[in-house]
Amino acid sequence: MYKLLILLPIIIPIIGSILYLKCNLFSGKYKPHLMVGTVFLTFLSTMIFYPVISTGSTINFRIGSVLLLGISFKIDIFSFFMVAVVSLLWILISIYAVEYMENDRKKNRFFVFFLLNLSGAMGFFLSGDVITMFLFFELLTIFSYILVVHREDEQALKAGNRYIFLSLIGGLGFLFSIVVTYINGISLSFASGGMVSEASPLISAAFFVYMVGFSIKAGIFPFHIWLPVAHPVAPSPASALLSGIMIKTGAFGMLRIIYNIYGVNFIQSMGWDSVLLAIAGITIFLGSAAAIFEKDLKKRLAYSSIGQMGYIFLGMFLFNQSSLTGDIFHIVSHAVMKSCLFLAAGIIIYKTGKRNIEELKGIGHSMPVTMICFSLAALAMIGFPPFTGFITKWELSMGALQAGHPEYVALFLLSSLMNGIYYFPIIINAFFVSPEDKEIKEFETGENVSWKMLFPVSILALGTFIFDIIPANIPLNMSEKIARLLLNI
Amino acid sequence: MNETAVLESFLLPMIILIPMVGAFVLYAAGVYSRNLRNILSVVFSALPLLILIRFYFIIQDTSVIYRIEGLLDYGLTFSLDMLSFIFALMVAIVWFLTSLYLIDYFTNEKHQERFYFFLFLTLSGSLGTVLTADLFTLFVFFELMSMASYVLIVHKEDLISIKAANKYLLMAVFGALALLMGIIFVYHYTGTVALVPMVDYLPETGIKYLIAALFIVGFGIKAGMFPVHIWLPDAHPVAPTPASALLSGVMIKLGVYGLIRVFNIMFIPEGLTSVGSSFASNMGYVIILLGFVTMFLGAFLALFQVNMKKILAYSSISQVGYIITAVGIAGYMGLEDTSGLGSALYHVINHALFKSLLFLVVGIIYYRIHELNINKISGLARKMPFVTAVFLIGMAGIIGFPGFNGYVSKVLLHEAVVESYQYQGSKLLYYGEKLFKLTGILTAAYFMKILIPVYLGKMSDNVKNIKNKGSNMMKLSIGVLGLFIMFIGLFPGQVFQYILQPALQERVTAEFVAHLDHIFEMVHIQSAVFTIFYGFIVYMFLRVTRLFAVHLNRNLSLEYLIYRPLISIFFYFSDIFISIFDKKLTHSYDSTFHIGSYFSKLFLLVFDYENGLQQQHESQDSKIDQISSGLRDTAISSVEKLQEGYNHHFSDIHWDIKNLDFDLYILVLVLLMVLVFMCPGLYYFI
Repeated sequence: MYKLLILLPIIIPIIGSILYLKCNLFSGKYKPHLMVGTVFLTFLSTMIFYPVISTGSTINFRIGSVLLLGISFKIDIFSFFMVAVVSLLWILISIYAVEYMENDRKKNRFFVFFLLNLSGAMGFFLSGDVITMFLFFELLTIFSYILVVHREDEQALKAGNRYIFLSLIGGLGFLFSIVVTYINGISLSFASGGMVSEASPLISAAFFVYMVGFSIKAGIFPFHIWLPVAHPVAPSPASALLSGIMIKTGAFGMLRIIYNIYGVNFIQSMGWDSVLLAIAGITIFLGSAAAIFEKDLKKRLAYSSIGQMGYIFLGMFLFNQSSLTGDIFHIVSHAVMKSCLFLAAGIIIYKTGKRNIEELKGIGHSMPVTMICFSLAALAMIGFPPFTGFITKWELSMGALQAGHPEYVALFLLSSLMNGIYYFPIIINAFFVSPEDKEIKEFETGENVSWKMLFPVSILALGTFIFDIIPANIPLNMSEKIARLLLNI
Repeated sequence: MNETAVLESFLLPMIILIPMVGAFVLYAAGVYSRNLRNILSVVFSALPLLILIRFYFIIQDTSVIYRIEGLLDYGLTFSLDMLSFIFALMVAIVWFLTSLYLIDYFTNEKHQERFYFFLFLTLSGSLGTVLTADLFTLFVFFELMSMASYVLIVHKEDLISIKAANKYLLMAVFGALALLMGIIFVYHYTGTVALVPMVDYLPETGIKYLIAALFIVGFGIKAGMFPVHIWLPDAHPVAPTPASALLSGVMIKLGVYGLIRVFNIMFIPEGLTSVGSSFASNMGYVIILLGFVTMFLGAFLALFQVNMKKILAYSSISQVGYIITAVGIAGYMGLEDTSGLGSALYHVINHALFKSLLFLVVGIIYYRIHELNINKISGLARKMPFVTAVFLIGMAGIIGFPGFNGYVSKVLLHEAVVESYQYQGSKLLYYGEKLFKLTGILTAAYFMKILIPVYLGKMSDNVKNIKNKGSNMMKLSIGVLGLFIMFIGLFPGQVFQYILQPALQERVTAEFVAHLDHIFEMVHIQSAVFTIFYGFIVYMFLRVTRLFAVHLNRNLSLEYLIYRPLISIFFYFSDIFISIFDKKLTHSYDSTFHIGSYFSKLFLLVFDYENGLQQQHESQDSKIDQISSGLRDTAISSVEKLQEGYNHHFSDIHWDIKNLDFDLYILVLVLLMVLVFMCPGLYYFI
């Protein structure tokens, strides 16, 4: 019975979304509360597993005869960590979204899919084999498409097309690889260590197609092209979800495939890890460089996401504990930082309607809380101590050195410098440059934003450094345990 | 440092924590009441000073350590030994006096709360930088100090200060990242980041030199060392004057502190026969040369400025050059170093005193007259006798007049330079010694340039019409600094006995003590007086020939010749990179659909001719034509775009020989070089 509870985080949001759609008690006055409550319940339902996880054991739950081979769910420390963090972030974003989408015409559709996306994400992170993962991978593609095209204008539809077609290609590739791995007798369920011993060309090809499939989700070069158009057109809470959480599903899937299906030995014997590292390097440089030239605030953040996903992609092919710790830590910390940045940008757009960075001069004086939160998250992105970005940089650099790749240390730091080049102007414009034209006076009326928007942003901004300045850095310790689990040491 | 006796004390991190908490308290207090804030600011800057002084007697034979596990992954370790103590004391004293000074300085300026907030964060960062036991913790606080001081520089928020602050920020971030990379390498290869000798554990490859270079860049940027000094003359003058005093007097020394820790302690091998010794002395040699260039360049450029704060900023570069030279000598000579480290520390203390004094004096002038141009003020002496007297003390200190503190450290520095030349007989160091003396002359000259027009002569109108009253707090703080300067100058042995000797311990040599004992010998006094006299002659010469009016062409500066083109080239290539890997990729992705639809129509034509023909008629023009023409168009447009990008990025770079004004100052530089290097007879003169 206890095992059945693993389905709770997946089912609760679905029930919540149906209720949201159909239940019109009190003429829908309490719909927002229902929505936030559902997300909160989901978070609580993930917390049920903490006693099991803390003892170091895992739960496997299998439903036979669904989808031919049956689907299975698994909760180990890795998936627990992910679902806990993701649902926690989801709570904050949902509180924010209630206010942000208040006057939106299609807010019912948005919130229904907002909850369905949560269900999809929970299912994805809790999946115990590749087939289940594929199921939720495809579901997430469809669900998040709705969030991308929410505005329904030409720009959004175009971005949505680019997103959905690429994701479909990725999904098909995923299916191909599943078939190949299955007929070659490789177990499809995730087990620590991985079990592929010898590399046949077909198996190697399947590995690459897996990587392509997840790269499309994660926005890794050369499949990143949907990301800088799709993330900015979505409404800001959805952007935060997409950039903060959705692209991490790609990274999570890659880690599962590399460490739980194929195993480190296979990839090292294949000898392609240096190529993958180079791709990661290009992704890092590309994301950071493109962000410098971008004038649109949300686009800049989206390009920055590409660069940061490059860090994560790089970390998983260095194959040592330090790099993997930094990698998993960065998955989480980037989720926090990027959500914070997108939500703060959302407040600015919501209040002023301005997206161009040049137009945001002096906004720090009129919206101090928002911009201070934005600045903190931006400093975390650049990687200043004591923010989380610094820990990532330190761990990943150590990992790169241990793996014998000092050039990537230089790349990390170059990328940090470039992050500085594109984040500092926003901060400087906001706080230290006085607006020249009278137009700006209009937002000198004060912050005047509901707590529903400021509270999530402030909590997220706090999250970018609070764990580093208290003696027990829980996310980092968890990441370290996960890294040890994945490497089987 | 005595390894055996270690005291753990929670008071140690409190020194850093108090100003950090104080920053928040002051912000809140500032909103409530300014007077309360001013009083609290004095309290919060006095507390660290008091705790430090309390520690003074303890650390004579033990070192104080406190470790906080788990913070920031690696854990933070604080420690206090006498070397740290010297720097921490310098920071705390100057900060305390500056916060006294600040009480009356701000009248109606905007953003005072913000200024105080970041002022105290900077104090916390500065104290943290010197009170750490490992490079990791040092880096954390170094970053805090660098970032917080950005806000002090940008305080005025006008175009000039934003530009200067941005330049500072870019270089500070770059330096911090270089430093971080060095620390990561050190940690990886040695397994520790503690501030102990570790050069023996580094691999015998080029990586060692890379690490050294990263540290030189990282700390050198903060110290204002050539060739990464370019932010300093812009950033220091634009800050509010008390902040300038701190930046110039205190914060650049933190870069020096890093250099001392790395090159004079970590890179010095433990045993004499160790393999690392040649490495340490090679790096020391490089630092000496950089120090000489910094020293001369700062003094030379200071001659041609008209803004008082700019003169002082360039002077800071020059004086830090002295210190860096001595640090280099200590590294170069390794364990055989006699007076390098001692004189470096001595000059650190002295420069902190007289440079903050001079900046604060200029601040008083600005506070009362709102003018900094030396050509627009004259005859100040009669209106402000006390300020003039204090200025004279500071000036006497910096130009090395016998009886004032600068004289002592400069004589010691000179001895160190001479000894470094005698150590291995390097010819370059021999010329360096001449450059040292020349710099001394120029220093005297550019201070004459402030003294004579501003204080002497007839009163100008703006001086006559001074309305607002002077502030006693300001006078008090500069007066105290002046007393320190005179005290050190008259009793040089005291500083040695109570501060330098405990810090240097086994590195105190008989030679150094002998130099100190003979500090007031006739030879030294004569040479100091002659230096000042020659400085006066140089000043008169430049004044009579009107060479002071020479406008230095900024296009010939390091920034415009090297850094800006480098940055532009970097941006240009990243532009190309993006256009290939992002824009072109998107385009080819979009055209994939066209190709796909073309092939599916072709397929239809083969297997279902009728239907296919109809389809083809519907789409009038062939898709493949569209694609090829589309590709051609994008090719042409991308070439145009690249050209445009080229013009855009390279428009403000000054590499075209046509417009290269061969300015007089290059000519003067060449002439001076020729004079110094080609005429042996001149040496006797200098």
